[in-house]
Amino acid sequence: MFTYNFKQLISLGLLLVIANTACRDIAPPLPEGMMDPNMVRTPDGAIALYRGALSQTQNGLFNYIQFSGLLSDELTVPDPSGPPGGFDPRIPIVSPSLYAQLHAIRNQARQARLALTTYAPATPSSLRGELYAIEAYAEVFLAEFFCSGILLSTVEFEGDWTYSHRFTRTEVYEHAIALFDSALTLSVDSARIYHLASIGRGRALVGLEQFDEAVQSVQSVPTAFIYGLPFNSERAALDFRSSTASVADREGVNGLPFRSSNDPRSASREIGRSQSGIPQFLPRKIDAVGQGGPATPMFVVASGIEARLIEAEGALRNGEISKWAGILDTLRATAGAYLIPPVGSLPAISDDSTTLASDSLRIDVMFHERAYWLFFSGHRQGDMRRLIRQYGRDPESVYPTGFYGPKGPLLGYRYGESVVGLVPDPVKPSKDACLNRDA
Amino acid sequence: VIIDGVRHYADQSDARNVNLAGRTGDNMYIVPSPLDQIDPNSIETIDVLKGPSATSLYGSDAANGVIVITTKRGKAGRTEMSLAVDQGISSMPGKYPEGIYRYGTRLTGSTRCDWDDLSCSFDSIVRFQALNHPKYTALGRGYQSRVSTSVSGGVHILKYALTGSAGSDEGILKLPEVEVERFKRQHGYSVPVWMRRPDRYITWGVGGSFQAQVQPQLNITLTSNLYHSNQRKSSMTVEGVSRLLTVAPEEIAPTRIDSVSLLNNFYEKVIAEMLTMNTSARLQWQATPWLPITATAGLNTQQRTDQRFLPPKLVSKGRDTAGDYGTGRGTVLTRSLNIQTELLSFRDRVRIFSGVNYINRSIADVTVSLPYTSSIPSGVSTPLVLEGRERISGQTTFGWYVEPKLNMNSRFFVIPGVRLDNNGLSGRGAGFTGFPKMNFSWVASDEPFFPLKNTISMFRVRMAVGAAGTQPRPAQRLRLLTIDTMATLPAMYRGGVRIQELGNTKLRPERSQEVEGGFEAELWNGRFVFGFTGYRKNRKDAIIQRALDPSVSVNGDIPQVYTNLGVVRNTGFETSISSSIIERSELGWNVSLDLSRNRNVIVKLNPGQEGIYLRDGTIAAVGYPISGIWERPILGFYDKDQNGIIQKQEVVVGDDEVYLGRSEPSFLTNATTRVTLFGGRVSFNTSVAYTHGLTQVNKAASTSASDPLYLAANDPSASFTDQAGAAVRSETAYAWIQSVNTVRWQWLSVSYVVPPKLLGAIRARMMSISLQGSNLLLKSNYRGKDPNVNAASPDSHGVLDGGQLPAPRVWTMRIQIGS
Repeated sequence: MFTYNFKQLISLGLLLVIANTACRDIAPPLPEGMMDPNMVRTPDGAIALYRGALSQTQNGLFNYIQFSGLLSDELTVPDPSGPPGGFDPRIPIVSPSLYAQLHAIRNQARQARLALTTYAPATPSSLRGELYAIEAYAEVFLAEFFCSGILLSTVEFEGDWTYSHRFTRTEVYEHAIALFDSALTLSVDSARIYHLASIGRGRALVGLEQFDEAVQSVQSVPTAFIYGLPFNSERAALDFRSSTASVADREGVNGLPFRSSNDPRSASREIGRSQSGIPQFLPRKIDAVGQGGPATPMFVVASGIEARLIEAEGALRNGEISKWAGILDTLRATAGAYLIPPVGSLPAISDDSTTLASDSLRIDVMFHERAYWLFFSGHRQGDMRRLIRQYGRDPESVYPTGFYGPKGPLLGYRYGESVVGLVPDPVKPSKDACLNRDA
Repeated sequence: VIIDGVRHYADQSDARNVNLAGRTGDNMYIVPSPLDQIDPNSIETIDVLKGPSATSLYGSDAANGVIVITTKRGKAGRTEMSLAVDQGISSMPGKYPEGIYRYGTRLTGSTRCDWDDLSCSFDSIVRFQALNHPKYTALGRGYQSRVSTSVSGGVHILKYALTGSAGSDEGILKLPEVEVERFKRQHGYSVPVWMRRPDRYITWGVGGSFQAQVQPQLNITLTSNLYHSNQRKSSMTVEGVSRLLTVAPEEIAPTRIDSVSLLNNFYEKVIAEMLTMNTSARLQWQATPWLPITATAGLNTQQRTDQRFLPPKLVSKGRDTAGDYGTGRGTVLTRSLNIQTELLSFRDRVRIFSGVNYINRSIADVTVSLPYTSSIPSGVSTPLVLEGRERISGQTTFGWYVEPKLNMNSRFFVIPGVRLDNNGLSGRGAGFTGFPKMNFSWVASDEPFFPLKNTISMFRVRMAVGAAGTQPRPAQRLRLLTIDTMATLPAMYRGGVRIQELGNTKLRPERSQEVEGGFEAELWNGRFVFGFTGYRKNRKDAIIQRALDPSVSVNGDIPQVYTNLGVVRNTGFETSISSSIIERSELGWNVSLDLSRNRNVIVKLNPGQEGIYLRDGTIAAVGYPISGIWERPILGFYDKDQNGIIQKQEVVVGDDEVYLGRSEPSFLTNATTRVTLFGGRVSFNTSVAYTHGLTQVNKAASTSASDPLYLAANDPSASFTDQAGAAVRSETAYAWIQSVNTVRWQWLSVSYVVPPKLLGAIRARMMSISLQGSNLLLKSNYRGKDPNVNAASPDSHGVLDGGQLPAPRVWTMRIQIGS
């Protein structure tokens, strides 16, 4: 039997108070820089997720534009430091970085869309339509850059994730079209988003070689239409410089003369030289404000110019040569004002009859015009693959080939034969999971 | 780490183990830990607690052990003063492996030839290593100095101890002489000191301890220590040394060295400054004859100011930098309260101890920086982009434990116990988690029936059984979000929220059971002491990080999640033998030998985890360790075209990785011996360590074009095996995997205690002079500089062996005076 005096009871009481206080005051700890997931379970939180998805898209799109530019003839590494490696010299490599970034666009857009549905149902439905369209665009980028075998896994809202089967390129385009259809359904209250989805749907249909449907999809889009994602041009210029990429000029025999043609649509300027004295050129499209670049820099995802180019290619496929040339000439006369940065009018295509003399030359002109109007916007890689897949061109007459880099002839460095990025294996990331590596 | 009862966190989370001023991926900017700051001379005792006892007293996050440090305390009596002065000099022992460079001719003339370049007609091989050359090396002499002093004394009711110290350590890294000259020619002024000698660590500390006997039943101890450290490093530490390691002879030709400097872009100064204050109050109160209470309240404040600076206009050839600056400030507050009491005592047979621990830690950091860029396009306006980040987090742990100590017959002790933890990591309302334990101890040699008492003076057997658990952290379990606040972001994105971490909402707590047993034996009155501890720990639902397919990426990175892998078993033993071989006044000789081994193995995998890749490339498979080395094997090769050269297409590489060994040694041994002469006035101490069977992927060699094995490609004079390994190096590092054995002479010290009769002139009570050398000799089959720096880190930019400096050899002279 124990007896307690007053002092002892006070001591024991103090212990209990400390214990009770400590239990009640335990803070929910989160890692540095992280937010409580509960904060997005409100209308404002869902809209913040929508803004975040757009931010992720802007970031991923810039990377896509650069990587696809390197694999195509838009960009090159002017002074490679060693033997050929990576996308620029067309060496087949598994590089999960871009693959992950494009999937991040998909997954963030999907999460934001589900959050809007659950927590902000009163917001305009076009916001969800826009996110559907962004998700679909990410799938189009995947289809244009990577080999068949792409996973379109799903990340459940606030839950688990599910791996998908491997999609062929065709299946990815079809999946994207289904998403664009959803976007169109939800975007009746916004012409801007409706046009965005219409052009994206057209782009996917072009990838599937369904030109009539593609033309039908984009015909209501005005030429002046632009859907762009703003970016910080100084930051982008620095990132571009750090990547050691440069605007290419007749890269690897087959490349277009993006610099020496002096075409204002692919304008660039020298921003420095490598240690060996090789110059590096920065596209005006991402140049710093005050350096001749755009007043409001934006990565253009879709534009009315692209809609007209789809119509022109549709006309060419149908043998409507005068209609085709007319669309291109009209664009050259008037559409420069809609570019970012704007350019003046250009001489008409039809002025030079030698360029239109044969089917083959007209195809060259079509893709030349697409290359310049859509320069540095992530279209060229898909177009070069289409030249092989849809027009039967030899890959070695389309993609850069021959010796690679200024030291290539000296060291025997040559371009490889890849026309796609390789999809990483979900289980063994060092290996590829391509169903095939065709264009 | 617990200093004077106050909890210190050696790892402040991943985000704080790097410089707060940005560039978080660089592993060179690791900030000092509490153990780096504290003056060794101010320490009175260091205790290490491991196993279930550590968990029971300090909670589940102490399951891997606790270091308990007590600083100096005063003793009643005459005032005692001491002064210790250390002066040291350091250098890199031995030579770096030579690089081998092949030269030949092409149509264009003489040139250095890549090994893969069959168009080059080889004619000569040159061996060169810039790090071994006095003009080009970045390795020089380092200097260390430290002064420590203490004063202590007092009377029975008030005792005190005051300590103070200051030290500086200048590292061995230096700017190569040729770079110093080039810099002056190019820029017109001398190289700043921080570029010339980038590595420096300056520290000072003061401390005081006061013990007051307020009442016969009440003793109060106040302790406060203030430490300051300033660590300076440069990017040359990692990148510069790596660069020099592979500099080819033609790169140092006078015609090139002015235009292409050896270390372009590798001049970034990084400073990590830290002020730590550790204050504690300890109260020992005998409330009643049967209720002693001990309470310790502590406050640890850590303030950091980190900076990095890349000077402008350093780089030539049109790539002038505009400079780059970043700063970060951070504060960590750790508040702790420990109360222990003896609830019940019954004739020394039963004593029940109980206590509570409360720890609250808050972290607040802010970082402002210009983003790192190697160069800025000319014409881009400056200042450029300002990034700001703020991190705030907190964590509270509350624990209660009870530990009855049952003394059966003064020879057999049973100590059961249970701890209840409410750890903040579990989140609000997660409830208490219980960790039971049971200790047994039997001093068999005290039993009447124990035989051989004349030979075995003490024999004690002990055993401990305990359970612990690890709750998933929020970042492991929750889908976490981040908010875009950068000022440079276009307005429409600002305030946007993105998913940053996928998380694993199905992650369960990890549970572990540990059994530890062993014995201690003293033979011939302590002349021979033998100890053994064996342990086995089963981790059920072990929480391990794994990679996911990029198709579920949410932030653009390859997604990583934590998963409950299955059952992982850790087994091992530690044994020590020490002997006083000679115990005479004129000569004494002690020898001790430690041997240890640790093994982990996956015993069972949860469904869906078979064959997955863990974060470091290890494959999860039953019967294999969680940190094994796996690689695609070379199955065979055949010189099909009979040209004497094995080319890539003539080598067969297996599709699937195979297990090649453990990334931890088979066993570690450490031998220490001490010889004393002339009644202990002169003593010699030395220690040698042996590490056996450590499997390593020598990635530095596999990626270095100057590594001999790498150069075997297309070399008809090399063996076919070496040629095959080099030919497929881009597919597999199989040829660079080694089982490494290492003998290291760790240290040697010689001490002399000056006889009292010689101390009269300086009125000192004692004086000793000692000389100590460390890292004296390394013998290893490792093909590289030092196997300890072959650390493969995903954040190290691929720079491995060459980018990290091994521990230097240090000789230190020490004079200690006491009065």
